[in-house]
Amino acid sequence: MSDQRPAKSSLTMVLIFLVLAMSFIFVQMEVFDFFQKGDSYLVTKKQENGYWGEVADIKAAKGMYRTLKSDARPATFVDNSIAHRTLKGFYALRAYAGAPPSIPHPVSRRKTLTGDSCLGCHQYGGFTPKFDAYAPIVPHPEKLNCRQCHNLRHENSLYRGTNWAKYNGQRGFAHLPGSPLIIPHSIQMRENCLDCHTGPAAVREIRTTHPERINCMQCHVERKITKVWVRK
Amino acid sequence: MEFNQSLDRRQFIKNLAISSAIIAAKTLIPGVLFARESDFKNLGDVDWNKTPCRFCGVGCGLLVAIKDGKAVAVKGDPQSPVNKGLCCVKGYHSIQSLYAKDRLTKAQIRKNGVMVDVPISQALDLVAKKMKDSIAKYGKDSVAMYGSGQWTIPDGYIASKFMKGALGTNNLEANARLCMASAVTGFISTFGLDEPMGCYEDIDYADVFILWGNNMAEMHPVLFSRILDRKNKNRKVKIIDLATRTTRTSYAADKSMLFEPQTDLAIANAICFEILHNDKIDQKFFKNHVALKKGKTNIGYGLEDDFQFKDKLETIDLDAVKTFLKDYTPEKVAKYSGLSVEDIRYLASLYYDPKLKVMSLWCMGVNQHTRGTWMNNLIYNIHLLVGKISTPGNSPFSLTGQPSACGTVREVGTLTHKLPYGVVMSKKAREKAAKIWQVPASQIPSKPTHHTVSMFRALDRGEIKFMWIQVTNPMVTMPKLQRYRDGAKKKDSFIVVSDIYPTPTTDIADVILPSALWFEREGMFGNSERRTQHFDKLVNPPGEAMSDGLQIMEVATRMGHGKLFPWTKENYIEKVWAEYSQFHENDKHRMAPYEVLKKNPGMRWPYVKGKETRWRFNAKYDPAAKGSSFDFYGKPDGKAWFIIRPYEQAPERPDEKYPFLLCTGRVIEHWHSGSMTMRIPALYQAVPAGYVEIHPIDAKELGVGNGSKVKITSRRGSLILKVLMDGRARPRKGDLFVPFFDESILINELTLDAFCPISKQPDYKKCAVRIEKV
Repeated sequence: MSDQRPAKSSLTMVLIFLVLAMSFIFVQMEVFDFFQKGDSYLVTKKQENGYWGEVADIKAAKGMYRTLKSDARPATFVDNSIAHRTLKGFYALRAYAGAPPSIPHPVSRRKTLTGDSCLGCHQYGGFTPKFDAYAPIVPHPEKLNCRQCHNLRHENSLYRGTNWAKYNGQRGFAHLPGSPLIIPHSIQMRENCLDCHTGPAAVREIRTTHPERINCMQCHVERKITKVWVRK
Repeated sequence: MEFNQSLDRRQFIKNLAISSAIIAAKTLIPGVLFARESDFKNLGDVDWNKTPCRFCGVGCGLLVAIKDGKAVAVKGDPQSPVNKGLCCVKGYHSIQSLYAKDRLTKAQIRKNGVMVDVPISQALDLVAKKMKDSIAKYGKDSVAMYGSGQWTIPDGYIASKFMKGALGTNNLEANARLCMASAVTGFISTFGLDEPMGCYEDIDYADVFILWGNNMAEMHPVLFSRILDRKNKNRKVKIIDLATRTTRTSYAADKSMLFEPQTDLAIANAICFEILHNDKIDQKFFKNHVALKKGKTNIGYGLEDDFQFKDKLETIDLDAVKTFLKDYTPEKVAKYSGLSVEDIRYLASLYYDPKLKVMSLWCMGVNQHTRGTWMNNLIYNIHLLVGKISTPGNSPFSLTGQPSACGTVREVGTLTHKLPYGVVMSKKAREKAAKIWQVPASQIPSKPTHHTVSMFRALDRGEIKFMWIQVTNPMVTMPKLQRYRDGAKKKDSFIVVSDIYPTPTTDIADVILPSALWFEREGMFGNSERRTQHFDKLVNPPGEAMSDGLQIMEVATRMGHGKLFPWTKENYIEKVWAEYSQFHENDKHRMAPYEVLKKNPGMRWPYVKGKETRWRFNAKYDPAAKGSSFDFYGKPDGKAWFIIRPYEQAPERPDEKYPFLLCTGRVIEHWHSGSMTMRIPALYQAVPAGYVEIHPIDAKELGVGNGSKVKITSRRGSLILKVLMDGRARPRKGDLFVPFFDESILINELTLDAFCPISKQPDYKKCAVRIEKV
C-alpha cells in the first residue's frame, strides 16, 4: 500500500502535466481562434504563414528587419563585461575590410554542405560550451555553403613574402558633433546591422548603444561618394 | 572636405573628436553611465534650443545646439511626445541646410536678361510697383501668390490677409494642393471638418497597422520606428503593407500585398463587401453615428483647361449600399486588382475582428490619385462600418507630407477657396474675416479663382501676369512641367521668387528675394496630429535675407496697405498669432496661446481649458463633443458620412506604344525637390543622383542592368537616366519608379497633369511611358 501511493500521485501529476501541456500547445496553435472564426479566416490563416519571405529579393533591404520577425532574436543587451571579440582580433581574421573572415576554431570533418553544422551555432548566436564562448551571428544565414568563402587557416607563415598592405577601411564618422555615424562599409551581405553590432559576441568597439531601434538606416546612411553637391 | 566653411575648422574637428571620444568611452568603460543630457556639455558653451524639424509632416521635436551664432549639432528632443528623442538622418543633418556656399544672401533683379544684385529694399520696391501696375492694368485677378506647406503659420496668415484682405483676390494657392488636397476634401466630405480625429498615440494602442500605399520606413521614419517599437514589445502586432512597390516597409511588414495601381478603390470596396457579407457591421455605432450618401460618378480627370466639377451628395439607404457593393465581391476584385481572394478576405477580417484595434495609415499613394478624395472616403467607410474610429488605437490616420501643410495651408487656409475660418463662398466666413482684418466685407471676393494647376495654366494663357512664389520649387514639382515652365518664361509675365538657394524656379524669376530659413526667424509649424509647435529665432539670417512674412508685409506697406500690418519686425509673430487665434475661438478648433506654445514642445488643438485634445468626436476625450459617446459635430446631422464611391480607371493606362506605368516619389535621404538636402553632405553622398527603378524581369527583357542608361518617354517628354535595380526597392513588373529630388533629372517633364476633380490634386503616381536602352 505504502508503495502505491506515491505511484498514484505521480500518475496524477503526469496527467495534470499532460493537460497543461496540451492546452499550452492548443493556445500556441491558436486552435481556439480557429473555432471562433468563420470559414474564410481558416483559409487566410494558412495563407498567412507562407507570407513572410514572399517579398521580392532586394539586396539592400534583405534581412533588414530579420531580428524583428525572428523569435530567436540575438540578445540586445550591452553588457561589456562579456566581450571576447575585439576589433584587433576581428581584423586579424580578414585580408582586408569586408573580406570573408577565416574560421578561427576547429570544425567538424563531416563531409556535408556545412550550413547545417555552422548554422547550428552561428545562425542565432548564443553560448557555445564547446568553445566556452559566444558565437558571432552570421549576417547572411541564407547562404548555406559556408566553406565556399570561409576557410580554416592551417598555416601561419607565408610561402613567399608579400607587399600586401592591409587596409582596414574607413572608420565611421559623424558629419556633426553627435549626429549619427555614417555607415563606413558596404552593407552587401551584411544587411542586418544588428547581427554584428549587438549581442555578447559582437566586437566590443562596434556595439550599438541602442539596438532596440531596429530600423538602423533611418539614421545611419551609407556614403557612396565623397564630394559635395554644387549646382551646375 | 568642406562641410561648414563658416564654422572654425579646427574647432569643428576638436568638437568631433570630443564627441567620438565620448561615444568610444561609453563602449570601452564598462559600468560607467554617461547621462544623455550631459553628452555635449563638454563641447564648450553650446546652447540647446527646441524647434520642430524643418522637413516632413511628422513634426519631430529637435534640440539644436548654437555656438557663436551658428547651429552646430542636433539631437532629438526627449521632451517631445512626437519623437521622444529620436530623429531620422534628415533631421540629424538638417542644420547643414543653412550653410551651403551658394546661399542667397542678396536680392537680385533681372536686367536685360541677366540677374544682378540689388539692395533688398530696391527689389521690394520693384515687386510692389509691378503688382500695382498689373492690378491697375489687368485687374486684381492678374496677380497671384503661390506659397507652401513649408511656410510658417504666421507667414501663411500674412499672405492670406494680404491677398484676400488687402488686394481682394482669391489668387492664393500653396504647394500643399499637390500633396494634401485630397486628404482635406476626404475629411470635409466624410466629417465636415479637416484633419485627423486621432493622434500619434494611436500607434501605441493599435494591434494592426494597414498601410495604404505608404512607404513609411522611408517617408515617415520616426513614426514607423514607433510602430516597430510597438511590434517589438507585442509580437501579435501586425503590419500589412498594401502597396504598388516592394520597399523597406514591405520588408518590415508581416504581409506585403502588391496591387495594380488605381485598384485600391476596388479593394477598399471589397473589404466593405466582406464586412457586410459576414454581417460584421458594428450595428449600434453605424445606426447612431453614420449617414449614408452617394456622390457623382464618371467625374473626369481635369485635363482640359476649362474643366469644372462640383460634387453633389445624395442620401441613400443601406440596401442601396449593398446593391452597390455587389460589384465588389472579393472574387470579382481579385480578377483585376492583383490581390487574391484570400488577401482581400484576410484584410477584411483584420478590420472586422472585434478583438483588434486597427490603424490605417496613408499619404501620397492615396492623395496623389485622380480619385484621391474617393480613396480617402473609402478608407473612412471601412472604419465607420466596424466602428473603429476616434478611440485609442482605432484610427484612420492621414499622414502629412510637409512640416506645416496642416498648420499653415489647411488651418490658415492659404488656398483659393479658403479663409482662416471657413470658405470664401460663405457670407458668414467672409464677414468674420473682414471684421478681424478690419476691411470691408465686400473686399473679399466670394468666388474661388484658380487651384494650383489651373493657376499655372492661367499663367501660361497670359491671364495671370504676376506671380509671387515662396518656399517652394514648382519648376521641379509641377506635373507636365514643360508647359508650365514655358508659361512662366513668357515675356509679359513677371515672376518673383523668395528662396534660400538658386533652383530651377529662381532660374525663371524676374526678382529673387533672399529668405530667412527655419530658425533664422521666429515661427510656428503645425504637424499631422494637429500639433502646433513654436520655434524662436536662434541665429541671424545671412546677408539681407528676411522672413517670407516680412517680405510680404514690406510689399504691402509699399502698396499702401501698411495699416493692415501694424507690427514690428520684433513682435509680428506674437501679434499675428493673437490675431489669427481669433478665427478659431471655439472649442472645436481653439489654439493654444502664444506663451504656452513658446514653453512646450507643441500643443494639439482644440486646446480647451488648458488641455489639448487627443481624440476628437469622442465625448470621453473631446470637450466639443456632446452626449456620452460619439458626436461627429462637423456635419449638421452630427453624423459621419459613409459615401459610396466606385472604382474608375486612371486617365492614362499602359498601351502598346507606352507599355509601362511610371510612379514618382521620394527617398528617405532627400526632401522634395532636393534644394536643401542635395546641399547636405551626408544626404547627397548617400544618394547623389536620380535613377529609375525597374523590375529585374523587365530589365532582362530590355537588356539593361544596374547603371545602364535608358530613355524614358511619355506623351509629354523624355528623359535619359540610369537604371538602379533592387537598390532599396522594386516596382511591380511593368512599373517604373523615379524619385523627383534631382533637379538635373526632371521627371515631372513626363508626368501627367490630371487631377482629382474634387480636390484638384494631381496624380504623380500613374502615367504611361515607354523605356528604351540608350
